[in-house]
Amino acid sequence: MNIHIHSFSNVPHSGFVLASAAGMLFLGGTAESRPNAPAAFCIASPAAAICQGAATPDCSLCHTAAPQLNLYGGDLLAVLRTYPEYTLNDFSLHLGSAVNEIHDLDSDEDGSINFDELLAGTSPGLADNLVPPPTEDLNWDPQTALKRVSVVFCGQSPTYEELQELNTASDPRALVHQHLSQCLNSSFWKDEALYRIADPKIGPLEAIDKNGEVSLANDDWDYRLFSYVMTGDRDARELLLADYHVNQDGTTTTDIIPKEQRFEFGDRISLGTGQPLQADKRCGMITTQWYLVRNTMFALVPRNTAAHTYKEYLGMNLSLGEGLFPVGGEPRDVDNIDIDAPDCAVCHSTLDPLAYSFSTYNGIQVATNEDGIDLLGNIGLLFGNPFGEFNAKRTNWGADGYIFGQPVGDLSEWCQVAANSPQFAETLIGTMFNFVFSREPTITDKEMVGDLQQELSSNNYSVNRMLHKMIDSTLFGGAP
Amino acid sequence: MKRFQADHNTCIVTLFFLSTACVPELQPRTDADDQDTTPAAPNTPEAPRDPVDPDAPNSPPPPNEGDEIVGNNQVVIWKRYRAVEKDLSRALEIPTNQLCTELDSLNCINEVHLSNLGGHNPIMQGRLTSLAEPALTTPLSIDRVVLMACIQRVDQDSASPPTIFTQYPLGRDTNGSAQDITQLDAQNRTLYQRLLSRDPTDEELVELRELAVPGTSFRDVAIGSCYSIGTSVEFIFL
Ligand code: HEC
Ligand code: HEC
Repeated sequence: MNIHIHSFSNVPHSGFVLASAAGMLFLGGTAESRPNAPAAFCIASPAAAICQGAATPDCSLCHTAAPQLNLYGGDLLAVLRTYPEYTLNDFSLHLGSAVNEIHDLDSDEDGSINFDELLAGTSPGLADNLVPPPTEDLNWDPQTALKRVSVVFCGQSPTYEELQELNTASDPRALVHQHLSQCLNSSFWKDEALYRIADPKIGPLEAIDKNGEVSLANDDWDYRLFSYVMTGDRDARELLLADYHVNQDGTTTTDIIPKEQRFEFGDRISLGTGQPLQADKRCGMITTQWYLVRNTMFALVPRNTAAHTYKEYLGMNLSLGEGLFPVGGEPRDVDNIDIDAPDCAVCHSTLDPLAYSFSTYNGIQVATNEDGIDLLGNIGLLFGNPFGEFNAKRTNWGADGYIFGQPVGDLSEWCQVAANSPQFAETLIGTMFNFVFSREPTITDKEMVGDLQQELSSNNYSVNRMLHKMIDSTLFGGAP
Repeated sequence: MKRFQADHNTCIVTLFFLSTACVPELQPRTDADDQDTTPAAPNTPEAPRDPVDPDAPNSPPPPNEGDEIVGNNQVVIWKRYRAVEKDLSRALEIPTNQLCTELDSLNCINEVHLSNLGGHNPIMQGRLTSLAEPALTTPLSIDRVVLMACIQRVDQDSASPPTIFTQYPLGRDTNGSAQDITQLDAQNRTLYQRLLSRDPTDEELVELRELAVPGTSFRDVAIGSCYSIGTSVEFIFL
């Protein structure tokens, strides 16, 4: 992929393309001759951890939010500017030597030189690897662990008696684990904590929810499914693979769920609810009626849906340039919005193919006319439940999808690849880690995260098992 | 409530607005970075304790609250809204929905102070995530919730046969007698067990005695003790 990324305006979506930046685009010949920082970087520094595998480095290697440079990017620019012949147009020609020149600097002043950080996979531009004081002086302490288990997973401290019992227990660690098992079965965990963990993934919006002014879908199904998959030693990959829904009584069904609210106009307008999708087209959380209504809406290339899934379930935020796996020949601009411009292609060569697989799933399907909602045109809404239905003819690029640079024939395949990816497991661990410790895991937690990954994969992705492993760590239960 | 205010005019102001507990006589607090503020690990005799820390809720949590409190790499886990609610409810035997209300009807924990106490509500607030760390105003919220709960319990125990404040007569003033001290210690032991799930150390009991200056009403002592323990670092961070 040879797309210029260093000549576009700083806010890709604002619609402002700075005149100067736009002008630059055409200064130096074709798009192919344009520099590409991530690719050029890996040519210059092939040993860097971020250059292993199919992805290219994130923009965040050098930028806080492009075009703002971080400390590492700033040092690069300082060196580039010392080259008399340097211009932005031949950025990639000079990048290599600039990268080499600053290998021995410690741009982010965290105690490790840039080169070491590149090898280790930490950021040379962000003090993300400040080594915290050693944990050696801490030992796993049952009292500490029990208190934390109770508060985090049961939403309540242990009682005086429970802590006393721990003192005299023959196997205190086992008792703590027993306590965790109870908590993971508690209504606090299942109906509250996991719901709050699911919020950013589901993104409830009262106005269009089941009780909203215009009710388009019911996200109760989404919350129940999330909680169900994340508990009971179930396989967490079902977040992206489940072909069932969870009824209010906790049972599951692969049936199509008819509308719970009739199509009606009035003070409230009710258009959706239920689950219209047939089981073999389902991909767990990301094909519920709510998810498709909320994210796809009217889009024929459901970029929001793909990007949201990528971020929430695979941990990569494309708007920060994370997780770029550019596909050759993309974006083809299937919806004729000039998305193939180099400025846009840097992200959309990954995002558009990522989104194609979602395009055969309806979002909101409402016919409108000059008067607003077209009654006659919406006969389908009256008798059917079209929001979120599968519709093979909706576009003709539904079979052209890619994820992680790998072609996928439809969304089911997309979901298989996604759910079985290391990114999925890492994100799942990150989500739970963040819930427990109120921060993202960093490089210093690498060993623990590795253990958790191991635990997940050897236990069929049981979140409960993973959490049992987590509370055994010194990080969780350590006390002086 | 009235007498508490009347007797501790300055205190009530600070209680509500500056979150300084009404126990100025207590030994001055050591530096926040200091080992002295480590939440006590139960049964570690040498573990320093400072649960009756009038300044703790007052000093805005530094960015790295955790590190500051424990002064080593020990993780600190913030007891968030639900556990604060359930712990207070259990300790003081007050139904969760009656623990604390603002303007008579808004629930302190689930509505007014939810964000500050580390929760979020996607519908009511439109927020999808909770604070990662306590906000500058979190101590104010904790003060408020704990104080309301404590006052309620003491009020109820004054009005009818007491359920929790059973050791001393809430209707009279302390006189500093040996018997008063014994009763005070016994009551504070109960409060420790209820709120912090452990026994107090002797020093902790001695510290709490400073609330019972002869002439102070037991009612104020009760509220002050409950509040001090309930707003201690140990109650909020694990
Ligand atoms: C290896 C480091 C590096 C990486 C990776 C990188 N950049 Fe840059 N970028 C720079 C430097 C250095 C400059 C400043 C160049 C100058 O001003 O001469 C820059 C400048 C820019 C600019 C402003 C200049 C222009 O072309 O308009 C934008 C926009 C930009 N980068 C976007 C991105 C995006 C998007 C990504 C990820 C796809 C990215 N960059 C990845 C180093 C990098
Ligand atoms: C830094 C990466 C990046 C760049 C550069 C970029 N986009 Fe996007 N674009 C995204 C992401 C990510 C989304 C998905 C929505 C979101 O997360 O904001 C998106 C969504 C879109 C959408 C769908 C929005 C919607 O609401 O349905 C359009 C249209 C779009 N981009 C057009 C463009 C155009 C035109 C350009 C070039 C001027 C461009 N983008 C450049 C990352 C990028």
